[in-house]
Amino acid sequence: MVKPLLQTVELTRRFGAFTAVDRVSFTLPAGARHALIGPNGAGKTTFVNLLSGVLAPSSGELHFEGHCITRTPMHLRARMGLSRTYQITSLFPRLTAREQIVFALLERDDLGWSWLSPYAKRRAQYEEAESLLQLVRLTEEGDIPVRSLPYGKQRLLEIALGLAIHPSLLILDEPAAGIPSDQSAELFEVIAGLSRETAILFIEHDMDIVFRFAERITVLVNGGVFCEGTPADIAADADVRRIYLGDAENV
Amino acid sequence: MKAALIVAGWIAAPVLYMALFPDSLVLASQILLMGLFALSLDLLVGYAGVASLGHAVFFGIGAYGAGLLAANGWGEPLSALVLTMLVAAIFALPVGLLVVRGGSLGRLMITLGIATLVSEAANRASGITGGADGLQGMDVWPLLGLFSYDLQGRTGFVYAWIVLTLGFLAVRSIVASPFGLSLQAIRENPVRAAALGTPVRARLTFAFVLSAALAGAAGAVMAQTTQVVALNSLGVHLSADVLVMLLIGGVGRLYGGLIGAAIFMVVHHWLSDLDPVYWQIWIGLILIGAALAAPDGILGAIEKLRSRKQVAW
Repeated sequence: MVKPLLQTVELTRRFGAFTAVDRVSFTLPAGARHALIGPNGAGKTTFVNLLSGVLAPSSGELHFEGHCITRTPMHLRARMGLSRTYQITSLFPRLTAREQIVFALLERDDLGWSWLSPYAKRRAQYEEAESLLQLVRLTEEGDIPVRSLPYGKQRLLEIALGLAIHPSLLILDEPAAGIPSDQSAELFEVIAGLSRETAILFIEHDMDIVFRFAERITVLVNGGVFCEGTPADIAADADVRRIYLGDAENV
Repeated sequence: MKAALIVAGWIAAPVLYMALFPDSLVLASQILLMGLFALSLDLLVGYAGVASLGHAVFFGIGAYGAGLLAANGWGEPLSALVLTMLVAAIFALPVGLLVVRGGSLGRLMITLGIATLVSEAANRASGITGGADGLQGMDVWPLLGLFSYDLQGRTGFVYAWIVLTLGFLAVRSIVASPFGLSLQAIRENPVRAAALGTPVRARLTFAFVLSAALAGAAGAVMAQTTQVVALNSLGVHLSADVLVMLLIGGVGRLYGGLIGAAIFMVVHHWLSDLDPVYWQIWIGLILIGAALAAPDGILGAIEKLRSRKQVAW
């Protein structure tokens, strides 16, 4: 059997008496396109926060590329190739798009401690930043502080930043949250074009998008895994339809 | 072209100043050194986003370090300067590790606590520091063995100017480096910076150490040129003053500390002459007015005016 890229064993997170993530055992192979769905409050974002290291689990284990990373700090997980984006845009407001991508690239290339020569002369990183800006169609806006960018563009930059560190796993927490549907189609076009060297785990509420892009789907309900399968399995599952898809159709 | 003008300005300004105002070089030297001190704080506050109410601790370590060396037979100023910068940096390492663990308010508390502790320790250790009477008996040798400290303060002024210039170049190159970029990213969003692989606390600690070494340099040269060191060089009061200087000039802009220090010192000097009894009341009113009129400091106000003009055109 091929070793999974990411594996959780009975991963649990409690907040006081409330169990947000409940004994989730989950496996993700390299290059996957995997959607995480579930009603609001199902624990999807908490699960992602456990994976990326924002939160520490109350119990359970977390393995990435064969290493136990249950207690590994966030920045080291990023260095190992685990990257994520945020549901609520989390950028560097006063830096330009180009600067923040260059910053991410310099960190990836182990140059973040270099303090004697100017970063503006790092041509390799600037060229790579340019191609990332092209990928997310932000070349025109590359040199203005991102706080002045329209929200849709910020969402695209969010993904470019997540990709910049060459992750083997990119977790997208509702990448299209808060943007109009025509722009979200553009955004998922970009995501669909990404290389298979990067596995993608994404949280998304729009079922059309989920069924189009996911090859497997995990349904979380009340913090636990309710079921997992191919989009066809999930679409055919009567229980899932009742508790989740039924709601979505009414929205 | 622009760079050449700036270089010419940095060289011409002190020469012109010495020709035009030969009698106020002592105050000018103090302004330069306060400017360097505020610049060191700008690296920490403006770029790394770590606020401190105890930065004078490192200025004071520089001042007492250079003072004690000179009072105990090590009068050579340049080696003493390097040595005291090193001492300030070494002391800053554990302090920095502690400070960066806090949130923004926690950092204020920790730095305030350390400033209180250190200045009280210096007060108690009067056998070494001279306590409330100040450190006496410094004998600083001539600069490079050639230039002794004259009453007019010409040597002190040039010395301060050169050290400020070197400090400015150092900070400018640090903030333009990949390390400096990572500090700005941490200031903007520490969680995301960590999610991209940045060891946030380690970076901030290093910034703290660099900033402390520069503050130490300012204190050391201040002690060497004035040949006295008093307790107020490491207390909470000076820490607050230098933060105010930086805020007046504008944070995160390199020149903000220099401009703020000049304005703060000149206004102080001028008001205490004008109204020896109530001058502190005027200072307080000016600070409140400045905070309301130019919340981003003088450089921030100028930037705003400029961008408004561009819109109008």
